[in-house]
Amino acid sequence: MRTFRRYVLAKAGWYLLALLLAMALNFSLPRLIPGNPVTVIVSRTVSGDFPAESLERIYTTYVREFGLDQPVHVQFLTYLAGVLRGDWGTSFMLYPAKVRDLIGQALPWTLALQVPSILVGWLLGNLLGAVAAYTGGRLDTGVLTASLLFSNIPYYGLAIILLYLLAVQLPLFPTGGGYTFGSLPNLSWTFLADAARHHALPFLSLVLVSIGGQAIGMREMALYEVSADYVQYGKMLGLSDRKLIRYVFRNASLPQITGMALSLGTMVAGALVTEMVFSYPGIGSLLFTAIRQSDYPLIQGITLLVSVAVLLANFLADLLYGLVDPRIRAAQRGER
Amino acid sequence: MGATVRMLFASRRFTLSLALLLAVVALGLLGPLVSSRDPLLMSGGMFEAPSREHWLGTDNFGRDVFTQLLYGTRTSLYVGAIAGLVATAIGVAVGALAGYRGGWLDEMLMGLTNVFITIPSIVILILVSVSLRTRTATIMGLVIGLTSWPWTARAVRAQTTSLKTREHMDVARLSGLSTPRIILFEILPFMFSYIFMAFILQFFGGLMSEATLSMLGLGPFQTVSLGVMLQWALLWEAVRVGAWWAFLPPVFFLTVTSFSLMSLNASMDEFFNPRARDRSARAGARAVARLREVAPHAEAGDEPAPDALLACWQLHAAYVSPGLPPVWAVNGVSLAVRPGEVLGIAGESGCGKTTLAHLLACHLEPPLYLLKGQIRVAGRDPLTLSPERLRREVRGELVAMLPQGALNALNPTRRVGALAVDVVREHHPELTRREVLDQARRRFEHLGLPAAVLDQYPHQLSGGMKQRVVAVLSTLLNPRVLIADEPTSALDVTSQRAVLDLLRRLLEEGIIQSVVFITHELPLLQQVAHRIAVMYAGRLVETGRVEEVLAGPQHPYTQALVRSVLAPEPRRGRARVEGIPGAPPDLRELPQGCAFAPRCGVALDRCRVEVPPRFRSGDRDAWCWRLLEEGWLPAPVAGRRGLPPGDG
Ligand code: SF4
Repeated sequence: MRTFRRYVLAKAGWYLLALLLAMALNFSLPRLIPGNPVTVIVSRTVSGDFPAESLERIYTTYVREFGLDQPVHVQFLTYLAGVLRGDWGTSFMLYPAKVRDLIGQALPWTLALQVPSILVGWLLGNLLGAVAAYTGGRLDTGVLTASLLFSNIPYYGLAIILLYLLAVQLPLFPTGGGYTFGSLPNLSWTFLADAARHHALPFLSLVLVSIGGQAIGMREMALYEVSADYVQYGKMLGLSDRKLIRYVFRNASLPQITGMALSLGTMVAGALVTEMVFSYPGIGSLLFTAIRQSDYPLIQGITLLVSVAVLLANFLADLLYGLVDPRIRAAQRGER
Repeated sequence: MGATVRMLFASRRFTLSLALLLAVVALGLLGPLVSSRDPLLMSGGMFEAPSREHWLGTDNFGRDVFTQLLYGTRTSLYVGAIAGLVATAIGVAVGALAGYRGGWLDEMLMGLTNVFITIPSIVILILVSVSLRTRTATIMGLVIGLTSWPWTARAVRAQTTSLKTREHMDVARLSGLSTPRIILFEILPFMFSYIFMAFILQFFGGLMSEATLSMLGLGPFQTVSLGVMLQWALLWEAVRVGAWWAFLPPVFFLTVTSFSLMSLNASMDEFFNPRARDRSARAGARAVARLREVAPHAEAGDEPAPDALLACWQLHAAYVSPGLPPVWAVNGVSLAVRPGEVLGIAGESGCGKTTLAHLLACHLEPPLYLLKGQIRVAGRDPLTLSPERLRREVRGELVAMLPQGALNALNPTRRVGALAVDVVREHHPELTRREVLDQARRRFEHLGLPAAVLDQYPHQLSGGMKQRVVAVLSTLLNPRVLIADEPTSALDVTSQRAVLDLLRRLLEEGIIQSVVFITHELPLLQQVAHRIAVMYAGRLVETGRVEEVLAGPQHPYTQALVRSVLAPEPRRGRARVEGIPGAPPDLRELPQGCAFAPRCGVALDRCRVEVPPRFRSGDRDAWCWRLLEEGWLPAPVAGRRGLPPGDG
């Protein structure tokens, strides 16, 4: 157990370093913009006639938030402290809305879309890949080609095609949004059913793409396993194909857990753009608007959230892998 | 190199994807030269449908979509290529350095690499792109490449560390070459295909990243790319308006480009990764049928004694893969094992012993095909059974195998007990888990193995214990015959003895009735076997009682084998079969006549023309023309032929 703790600590150390790096990047963003960021920001945000005193107030808000009157390392510490306290700054485009609140509103939608689609896509894709690798022959070639095709339609490409076919040409699904325009989010059955209808297409498009990508990765992993001695031995003892596929699936999917965590960054990126295509009221659409409006605090908040989420998922996957695979557990205990 | 490239082009997937990719590249390079329009200038009305004037219609500002597509493809390819080059260059440099130098430098570089891998690159890309004052396509490519190199670095490092152990590297190091020189001239050339594949992947990644960024509104300024086209379509609601011409073409082009890239990568992987190649090589039914025609018919008088538990006659089997010459691994073998008997099969490696073992264990999978011959297991013909019944009623039930390299025969993530449950319940679903475990526990204890191993994972067992566990698992169902393929090679002397004792025990207890024991070590057979069959080049050369054969071998090959064992061997008293000058023949091109003739000291002219028939004396058989002079009689068979050499 002591060695396992050491393993966890070592991993945690690296992830902490990655997190710090990500935060440093986030921190430096508005400071890279030439000129005094606050002046630039305020002049960009506020156009038209604005009472002088509220301009003054906006100005001081941002100067305080960025801590521009202090040396850089103090600024960074101020930034870190703010982030940890949950004070993620104030939005430009929706002044004086807090970045935290804006993200808080969008996050549930994004989670409801991404978590199930990533999990379902992972499971189906891996199953398909394992069966293809084990069975070989035509099925294998077919799955490989189809997966290559599907995983290579870019996320948003598939989203656009589905939207066009199933919402515009054949009006089976709504053309966008998270719920019917004008209704207020609540927990009634009618609203949930409405939300589910809006959820279906973005969900489908995300699942389809990730099935393909996962199937390819799994097939490759499983190929190693299928030719392993234990599969051949199982065959000679009369184990059924179903059982052997289960062996292969399990052994190949262990590394696929970390594989998924690593590809999470790409998947999240794809999912964010997919949200944009469907004007889904999640983080992706928020990011799209923020970028167009140069709302730096909001962009910063979103990128920070995405990095933390991906890092955390990776860390958990590493721990899970260490716990699940007996070989790694043994290595940690120093056995052979 | 040239041969490799030529063989690559023989792969259909490779040529097709390369052609596709080149077509897209040509379009991107040449397209803008021939088009007269400006992709950013209005030339028609808003969202005009495709017409003779505008082949792909116009966008929301009345700009020509077809022109945009040509220019957009060029920009996207350009960004992808820059990103791919930058990422591959950095990744290869970092990976090769870390892998070659090792030590703290390796740890530091790889730690950094892993940190960069875990930070989602989209985050870095967004932050940097937002801060850039000018975003040209070149700058975008650079930025994308700077964020995506860690993947390549990791892969290249793994390759380098495995290359480093090769012999020529030592030579290079000893000759005092500097690190960069070694990396450049001794390591990278061996990874050329690998690096090219990495570049393809990075190219693909760059293309995708460009599109993602552009869609987010962070694309190149003042230029059109495929991603930018999509962003416009999205921004101006082309989808909901139904202006398919504004968004389907860029989606199609992105897909085709990335498909061709990934498919190119997959085909190269299939080629350079032998595991994938073996799989793609499955024989057509027609090729096998043709070989069946060629294989000789069974001889009369070869049918085994009716009391045989396991018997085969005139087995002909070959490994058949399209495009490659067949490997004639088993060429007319007839054998019988009676109850209570241990039959030893001996011969150098590469003589078809293991193939024969698989045939006897009824384990036939492509690319191994049975061409001719019959098998009987306990009076049943397994070849006429459906695969499902073969699996359920024969394998593990009647005949089981103790495979070569049993060290990896156990599923590494399953406890031994769970494996026992799997094996037994597959044949007897009516038993519960508990019952099987109890049974297994009793069996393990009865045979002198600690029952505690049932709760252990394979990696927790020592090599010798693993081998014994596999033997017990194989015989859990009390099969009639156990086929042991080199069960003791790779074990130390004590473990060898333990395994042999266990096999003897299994026989004495009546758990199994017969054993086919395959080995290249003759002294072992002296200890365990009753009868022995010596194989050479997929054929039997001599059979008989073990004492008689070893004391007075008749076939020149057996004689050489026995002599090579008796030759004093300084190290660990191990037999050195390599003591026979020359090597076994290539099973793809069997010589005409006696396969041993090229190495035989007493070969006759006849030997090189005609395959020797079986000669018999008492209950001993041998296949050698010399025996005719010794007064042995040919077995009563007419028209025995070998496989026509070089045919097929
Ligand atoms: S048949 Fe001829 S070549 Fe073959 S072993 Fe006998 S003597 Fe030697």
